[in-house]
Amino acid sequence: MAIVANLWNRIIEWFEDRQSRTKLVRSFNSSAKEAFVQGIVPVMMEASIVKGDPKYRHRFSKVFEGSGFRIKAYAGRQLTKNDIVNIGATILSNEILVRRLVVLGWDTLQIHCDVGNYGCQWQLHDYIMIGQNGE
Amino acid sequence: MENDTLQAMVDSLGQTAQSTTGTNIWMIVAIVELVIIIVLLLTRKPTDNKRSDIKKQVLAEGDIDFSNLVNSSFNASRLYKELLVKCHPDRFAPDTEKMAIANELSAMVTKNKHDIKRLEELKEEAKQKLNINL
Repeated sequence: MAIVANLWNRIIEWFEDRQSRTKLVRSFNSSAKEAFVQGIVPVMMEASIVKGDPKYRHRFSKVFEGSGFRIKAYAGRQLTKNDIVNIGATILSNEILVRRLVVLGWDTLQIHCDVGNYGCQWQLHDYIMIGQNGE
Repeated sequence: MENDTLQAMVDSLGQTAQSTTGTNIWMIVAIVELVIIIVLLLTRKPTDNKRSDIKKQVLAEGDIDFSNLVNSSFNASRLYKELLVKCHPDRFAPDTEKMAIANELSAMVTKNKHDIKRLEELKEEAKQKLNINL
């Protein structure tokens, strides 16, 4: 019975995680779109779930569902490295977001633009501080 | 001719009866499955392993302000640099009280360099406490 219960919990957890992941990506995309339309930011950003870097895996990583959180910046030009690093640093400085990304199965943060071939990626595990807040 | 028609009707009725029995069986299987799922949902015991605890704790941390995050990605660095220059403690050198405030503000500005909402708050604070134009 314990095996069934465990299996059942896994199934429920899978659905819950999937819902939370989709919700997070949608929220980001909707905010990015709104900011671009209102002229607050000069670049339209779009988040998506992609294959992560296998070197960055951790115990929460979702290998088969995509463990990479990719942000594509539609700028119509090649963004400077400084711009890309700035976007990444802003995301990584938000501890709550990073922790949430990690527990929802992401292990890699990738940022690149629609023009050009280069982008940046970070190992999310390096930026979490689980258990330090509220203890 | 009549016999053939009758035979065809009998065959057709037999096939319908068989397909109805088949549908009934699958309906019963579906109902049993539904009952099992409902029972499992109602009797579900919460997991008590460490992994789930961490996940619950993290997911309960509150909402993320994505608008602020997106806005900060492109606009925070400019304000950060401006505040860092204008609130530098050396600019208030003779006044020790203002120097202390500027010191504190500079530390806060550095800490929140990627959070534009917080930087805007610090800007207002700097205007009031240090009497500077920003």
